[in-house]
Amino acid sequence: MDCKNIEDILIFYALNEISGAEKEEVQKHLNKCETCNSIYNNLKADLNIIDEEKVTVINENFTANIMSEIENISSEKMKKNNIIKMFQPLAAAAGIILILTIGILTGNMIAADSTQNITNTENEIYYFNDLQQENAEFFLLNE
Amino acid sequence: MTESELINKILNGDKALFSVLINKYQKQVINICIGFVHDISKAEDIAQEVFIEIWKSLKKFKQQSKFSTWVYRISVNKSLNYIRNEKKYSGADIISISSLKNGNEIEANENYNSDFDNETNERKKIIWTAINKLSDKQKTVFVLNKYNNVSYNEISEITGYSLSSVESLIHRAKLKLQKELISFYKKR
Ligand SMILES: [Zn+2]
Repeated sequence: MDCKNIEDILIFYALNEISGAEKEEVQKHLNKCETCNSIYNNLKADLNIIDEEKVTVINENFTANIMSEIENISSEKMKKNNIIKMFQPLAAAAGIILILTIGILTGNMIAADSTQNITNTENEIYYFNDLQQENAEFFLLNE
Repeated sequence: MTESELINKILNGDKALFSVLINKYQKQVINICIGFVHDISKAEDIAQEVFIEIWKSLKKFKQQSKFSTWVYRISVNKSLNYIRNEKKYSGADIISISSLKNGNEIEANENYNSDFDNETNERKKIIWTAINKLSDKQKTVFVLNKYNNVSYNEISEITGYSLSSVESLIHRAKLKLQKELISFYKKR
């Protein structure tokens, strides 16, 4: 194998993903070629960063923060439900007024509404469908 | 208690048990996020969003697929969204100076040696830049596999790509990294 061949498979060697005769040939070349050996050492050290980055211990504070966040969400939801119950009698009256108002304002609101839709969809994309309901979104990921 | 028993208990009102699920998956979720953003505090922010999302939609989770598959899929989605938004607002590379500084401080405590720090920071910059040059698809499969040891089969379930697509995406991701890294060494 010459230097070019080595450069084409060195990452697989560094990741320990080749074996047998191929592995031996790479080893042999690295022993006699300083240039490739130095590339290999750099590659190996850079790939090691990946393992060094990973967290290895459980952070109890992280868990506690989420649990209190969840507590907030639940109590806000309860408050909302209570408010809805309180205002239910008024809802019918409000509905009638609303229908009248909508009739007057519809013309103006169409323009504003369509821009709002655009910003909403921009906010979060489901690259991979969380609940596997629609398939269309897989194509959002272009290579 | 099995995982599905745990989930059922949580759904039946035992909220406190959700912390068991968080503890079980927090390292995995955070490591996936780290693979995308390379910054522990950003990764923890995204991971927090992931668990809140899991909490909110737990009752919609269909138990015929593996829970981990669902968790990892949400982690990838949130991470890709985070990167996309960050790019949109800053227009810049996601490797921030602050993340390199943080790394520097951590290592300085463990091993006070400025040569070592500079070399490690240099290596971080090189490998993170190379990983960021992968396409979203390549990055997704590479991060799941290398930052969280997810099997090719499970990656296929997470992404909806066929097993052979996953294999070829990972292969191409490695070739691309190899090319980027080697051309960088040669320029230096
Ligand atoms: Zn050589």
